[in-house]
Amino acid sequence: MLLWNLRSDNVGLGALLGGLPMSGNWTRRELLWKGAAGVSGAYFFGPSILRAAAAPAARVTIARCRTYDTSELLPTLARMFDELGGLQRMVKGKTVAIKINLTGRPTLRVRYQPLEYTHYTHPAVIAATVHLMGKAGARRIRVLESPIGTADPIEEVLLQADWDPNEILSAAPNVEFENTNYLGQGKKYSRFKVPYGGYLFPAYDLNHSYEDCDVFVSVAKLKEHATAGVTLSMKNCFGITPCTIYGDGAEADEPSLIPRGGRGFIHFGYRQPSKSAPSEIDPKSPRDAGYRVPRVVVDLAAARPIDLAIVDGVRSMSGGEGPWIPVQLTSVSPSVLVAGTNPVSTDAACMAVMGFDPMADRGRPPFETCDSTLHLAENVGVGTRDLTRIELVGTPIQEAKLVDFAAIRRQRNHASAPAGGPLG
Amino acid sequence: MRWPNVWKGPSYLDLLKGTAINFLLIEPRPDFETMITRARQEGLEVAGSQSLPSDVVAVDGKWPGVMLTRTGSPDITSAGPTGDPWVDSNGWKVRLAAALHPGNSIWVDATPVEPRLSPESYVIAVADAATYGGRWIISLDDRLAEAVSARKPEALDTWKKLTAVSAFFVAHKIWPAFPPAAVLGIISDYSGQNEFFSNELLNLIARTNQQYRIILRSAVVPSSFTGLRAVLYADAEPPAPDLRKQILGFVEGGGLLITGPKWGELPGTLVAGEDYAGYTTRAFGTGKLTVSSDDLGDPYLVARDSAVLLSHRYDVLRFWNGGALGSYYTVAPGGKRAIVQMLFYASAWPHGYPATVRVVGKYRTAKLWTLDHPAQNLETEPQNDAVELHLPSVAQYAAVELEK
Repeated sequence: MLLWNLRSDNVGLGALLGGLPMSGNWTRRELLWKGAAGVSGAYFFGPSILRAAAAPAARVTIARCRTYDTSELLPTLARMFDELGGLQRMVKGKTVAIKINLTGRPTLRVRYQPLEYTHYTHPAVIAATVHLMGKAGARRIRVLESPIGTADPIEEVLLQADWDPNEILSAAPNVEFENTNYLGQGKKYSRFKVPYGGYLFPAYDLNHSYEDCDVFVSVAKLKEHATAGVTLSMKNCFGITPCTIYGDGAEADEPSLIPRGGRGFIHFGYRQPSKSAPSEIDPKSPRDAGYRVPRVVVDLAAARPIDLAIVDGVRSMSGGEGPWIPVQLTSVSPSVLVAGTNPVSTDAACMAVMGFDPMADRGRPPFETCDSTLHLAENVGVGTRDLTRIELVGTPIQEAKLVDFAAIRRQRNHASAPAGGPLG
Repeated sequence: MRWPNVWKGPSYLDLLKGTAINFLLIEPRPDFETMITRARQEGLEVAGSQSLPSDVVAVDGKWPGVMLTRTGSPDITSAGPTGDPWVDSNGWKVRLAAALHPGNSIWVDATPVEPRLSPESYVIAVADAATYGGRWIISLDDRLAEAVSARKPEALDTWKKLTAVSAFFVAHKIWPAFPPAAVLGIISDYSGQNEFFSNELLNLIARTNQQYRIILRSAVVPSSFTGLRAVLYADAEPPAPDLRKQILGFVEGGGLLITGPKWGELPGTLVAGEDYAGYTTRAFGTGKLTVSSDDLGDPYLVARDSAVLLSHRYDVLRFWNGGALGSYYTVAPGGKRAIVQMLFYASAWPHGYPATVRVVGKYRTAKLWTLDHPAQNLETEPQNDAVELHLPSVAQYAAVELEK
């Protein structure tokens, strides 16, 4: 069993639990969570304000970066990682898994824009991250994604997007890709229990790659999201769920051999995952995607913690997460990178850079029709979204806020624009 | 054209004036005799409804387009296993018939079917055959034939459009006559016990937009392999010694063979770590053989797997926002001029965004041809070994004429 790579600064309990042996059926991580509940005073049952106050905070670094040129990108990322305490401390001798964002089919663009300029994590950001990980001594680097509706190797997906996979594979020694949308190279799926019991599911069955790693990194894109308000480092990991189990084409009893379709049923709950995986905790809970998707995202962020969150906002899009969103989509150049060791805090800083209030809840932009993933995550102790508790380094938010997503959103007419498209 | 039974007088021949229609298939009925006589006087060829000229091969086609569900709802399409819309196209049939019957004209006999009837569907029917060098036997559905007969403006518009499209393809019949810019060769006898599998394979490979070459097993010559990256041999019996030698020569020189266990004895050495979807890889010379451990029983899987086994790295065409798309890339002798023809089977562009196509080849100029507008120059965005072309919004068909 994997020893969870929780850092003491994430929970403030490192001293308490250092060297704690596993006992019974509890993993070290579950014990951490139960310990956290005890220390914070009935964490899951106490008032929200107390839970928020106890949620861990971690440093977040923000940097201006105008282009994807290696000459600008690489030193910027290197400086940011240094500001987070250095990559070496985190990855030396370790297997690193990097979840990138390739949402939707590689054959769809926003107008004529290359995918990496709007909704895919830019390959230069991935390659630079891989390069710096390698330089910091990572033993093995695995780049992961679950591209919609296919078991094709990731390399083939990248080629269809007009990328050269070799630019990533050659950025450091021992780099490889794995498509995690199905069993892949594993012998069986890995079960990840949600430490706090789960909002929607008590546990998730995932591709082995999310277990067979020492460090888990989310390299996301800075975007709004039609269902979840925003998609940043946490929402990026919604895509770690294999569609062979959680996809519309999953078999009823056992995982299908290859993934088919998207994750519509996680959005709307019109069926359960394959019976081989745990079913929903409460099948009578709302079938509303704005309720369900944020909760699954938080479940996953707790079950498979993100050790390093990197958000690519050099170029992006306003209006949603991909070309299928039926609103006026705008290509934008926020010229910013954000990184942190706590995904909630990192996403909170990203929201502020986008012009949104990270303390916003359902009803306020960008969460007009959904619950706040950040708030839900804060409530179960994944991290704080309160900027007053987060140590922000690098470029101040006001200086980093070159593109005001919130203002563009206000101007957009929502009335005739229901969300739709691939449910990845 | 298959003459509609409701067009009962010679005056209907006026509808054909100035069109590219030159052959009528007419039911032998006494009340058509006057009209047949006048048709012949006007230089049109006429034959019985089932009597085709000796130099014509008719293929039994499907009404092309995106397949709708049985409910007939125009908003719901039928999808294949990946969720992609299911497209009926006769292009592969035209190409196969041309390969099997060189020198003959290929006519596609496809009757219009509900609920996929619209003016656009007639344009698609013409273009789907003509793009690949065939001709659709114009066959109007009863309602349209009657509406044209009644001179209803909308029906006449459809008729006018249909005949204009036919004329467009007659004017550009050289395009599909150029050799295809293929990367994958499919070797089969396309008959007997191999007929179903090989035919379905062509159908499904066309849907992946891989540019392929049909290679008849009995007619393989060294030039059959020119320009190819891979060949697929999926027939139920092993190749004859000569053919085996030719194919292995292609592999030895750097090509890839995709085949199944029926191939027989395998040369070369096993390559570790290159297994994919039940295929193992062997190195031979400077090329590779990738061999399925199971019989190649499912043409859908073989078509899908071949794209990955060959790798999208070698795509000669790559599309964005193409939707339900068909494509045919042909290159004029000498290689300085090429045509990329594109069929857009869905009635709307996905998400409202126009398509982009990347074409391998160092082309300097590009001219866009559509069925609705005069030809126009397109800007080319050069890449290392290719050009990227941003198409404006077009309807069912576009062609790009490229020059180096």
